[in-house]
Amino acid sequence: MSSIVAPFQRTYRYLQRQAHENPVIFYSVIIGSIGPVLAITIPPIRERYGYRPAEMIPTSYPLPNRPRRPTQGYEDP
Amino acid sequence: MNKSNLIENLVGLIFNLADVLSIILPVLLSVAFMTIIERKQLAAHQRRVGPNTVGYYGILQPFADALKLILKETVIPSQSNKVIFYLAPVSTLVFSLLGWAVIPFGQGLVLSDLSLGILYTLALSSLGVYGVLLAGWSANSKYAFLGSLRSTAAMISYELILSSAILIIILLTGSLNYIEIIEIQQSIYFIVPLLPVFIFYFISILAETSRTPFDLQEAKPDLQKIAGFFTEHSSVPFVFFFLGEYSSIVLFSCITAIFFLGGYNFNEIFINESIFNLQAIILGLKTCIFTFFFVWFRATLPRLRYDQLISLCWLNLLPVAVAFIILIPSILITFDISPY
Amino acid sequence: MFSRPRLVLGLQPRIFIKPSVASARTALVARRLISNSTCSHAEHNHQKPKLEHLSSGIEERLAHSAHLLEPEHDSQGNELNAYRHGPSALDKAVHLFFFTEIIRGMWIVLENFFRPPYTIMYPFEKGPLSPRFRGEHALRRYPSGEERCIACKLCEAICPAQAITIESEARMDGSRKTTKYDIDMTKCIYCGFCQEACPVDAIVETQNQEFSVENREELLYNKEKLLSNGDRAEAEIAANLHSDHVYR
Repeated sequence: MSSIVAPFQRTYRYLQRQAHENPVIFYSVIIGSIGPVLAITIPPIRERYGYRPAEMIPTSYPLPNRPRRPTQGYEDP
Repeated sequence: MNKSNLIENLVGLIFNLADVLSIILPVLLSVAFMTIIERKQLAAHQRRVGPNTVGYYGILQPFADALKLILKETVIPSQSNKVIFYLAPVSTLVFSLLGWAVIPFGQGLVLSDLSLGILYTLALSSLGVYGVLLAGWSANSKYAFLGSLRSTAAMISYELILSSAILIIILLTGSLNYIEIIEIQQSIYFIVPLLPVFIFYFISILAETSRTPFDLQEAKPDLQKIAGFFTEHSSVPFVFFFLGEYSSIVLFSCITAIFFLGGYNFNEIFINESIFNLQAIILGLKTCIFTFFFVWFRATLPRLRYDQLISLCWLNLLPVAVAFIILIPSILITFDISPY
Repeated sequence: MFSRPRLVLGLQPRIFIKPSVASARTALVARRLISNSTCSHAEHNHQKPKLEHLSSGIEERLAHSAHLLEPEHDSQGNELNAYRHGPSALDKAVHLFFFTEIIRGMWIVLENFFRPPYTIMYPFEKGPLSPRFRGEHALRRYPSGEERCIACKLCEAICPAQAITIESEARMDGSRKTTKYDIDMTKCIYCGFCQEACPVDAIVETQNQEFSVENREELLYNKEKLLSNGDRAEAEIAANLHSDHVYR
């Protein structure tokens, strides 16, 4: 049991030391890394609970699939 | 044809000037009153009375001070670079007044509704450094030069934090336009979800306007009786620096009110159909909250040492700012609420 | 979901004070008293040393007895947990990130904002002056109207700023009196040595401190000026000398 824990023990002590001695950088790293973790883990969970991302709002009109009809009668005199 | 065109242009010019004056004059007046408010409030924090003789409760004190300063002799160091010596205070004042051009005081009450308004503001706050730099350099005095170096280093460093905080707001609103930022805060003021961002934003604008915890230029023990980069400036140039400094305080308070307290919005608690413009008054009150904070900080905090100032910026505020720049867009993506 | 046991992350118990209405009230009152009252009143209450108890155990860890815990060592003999005795990293971070100390300072400053000022409106109101106050000089007379000064020149001799100049001659009745008694008030440092040196209490410093004038010449006091000062303030001077005579 202790042989499994031992390598992580050192890491834990290092992190503990950082949390005490460089709290700003330590917690900044934590806050900053929460973001990408959230972005990866949360959307699948939301989709499992039934969330479907909304359709993209159309940013242009669909072009009609036919030749252009020239307009007439609107020219400036 | 040509003559009527000329008259049209002339009338347009006059209206433009009237537009600008209708902003500049109240702003300068508010800057004047900012000085007396600061002195009175500081006095109240320190259980003093403050200026109370000129006018009722001393409210005419800033005008008396300005008059006294204008009547003083303008001393110019003989070895100074005279053009730049005069240009520096003017540029300081002009750059801090130019910032008011994009501030919306109410729906449609804006001098120029730039779609890149925030970029304009950031550019102007960067240009404000030049006044400091040129003043310190042109005076040909080592004390002014040292003061300007200190101020410049602090302003440039903290501009990074300021821009980072503003970047987060831009990410949240998806726009660089002030009016859109205000309108998007109808649901909630940004100070609620972005409180940590607000904290480091406010620290950075304290440094940007070189206010108390960061006013190293006025550090009495190191620079005895020396006023920083404007040591050699007297009389009218000094008045210009003074006005520029306080104008930037009012301007930054106003911008903070727009970014974090929803500007002229009051969430439609009341509907105003009279000619009286309540929106501008609401913006003014919100600005007052932050000017109060400026003076409150000045009454409370001791001054930082120079190395503390720089290490606070680069070692403490910058990691936090970067962390939030990563965190907040991630939350937007995670919950699919990005504004684009 | 929210009815899970309370010890998630060990965070919630820090927020809650143990439910005790009386202790909460005393804590509230004590806070007001510390901020309102002078130092002599703001003492620790030794009768009830534990007003409130945090279940996070931060007080125990901050207490002196925490050092009695055995240090842990690994196989190489390095100390394992050097931070065990102090506050936890989360406690430290909370104080750091939420500016607790600055906010406490700012709260005190804000409290004072709403209190009345201590100012004495000087030209209209004046603070109390000690009877030993050393202000403008005066020469006194005896009740008969005779000058007290006997021109011994002790004041001239002791004056560290050499502000006093005295010339004297014998009068017709045989007494030695001054013909000239000048004090240069621009030199005077208001040390009060002349007053102490005077064997007859003739030269005194009055409590008048408002004798500013518009040019230097008016500050070169002669005998007439000093005597008129003495005549004007005789009652005051006598009262001050009497109130202080026990200590002289």
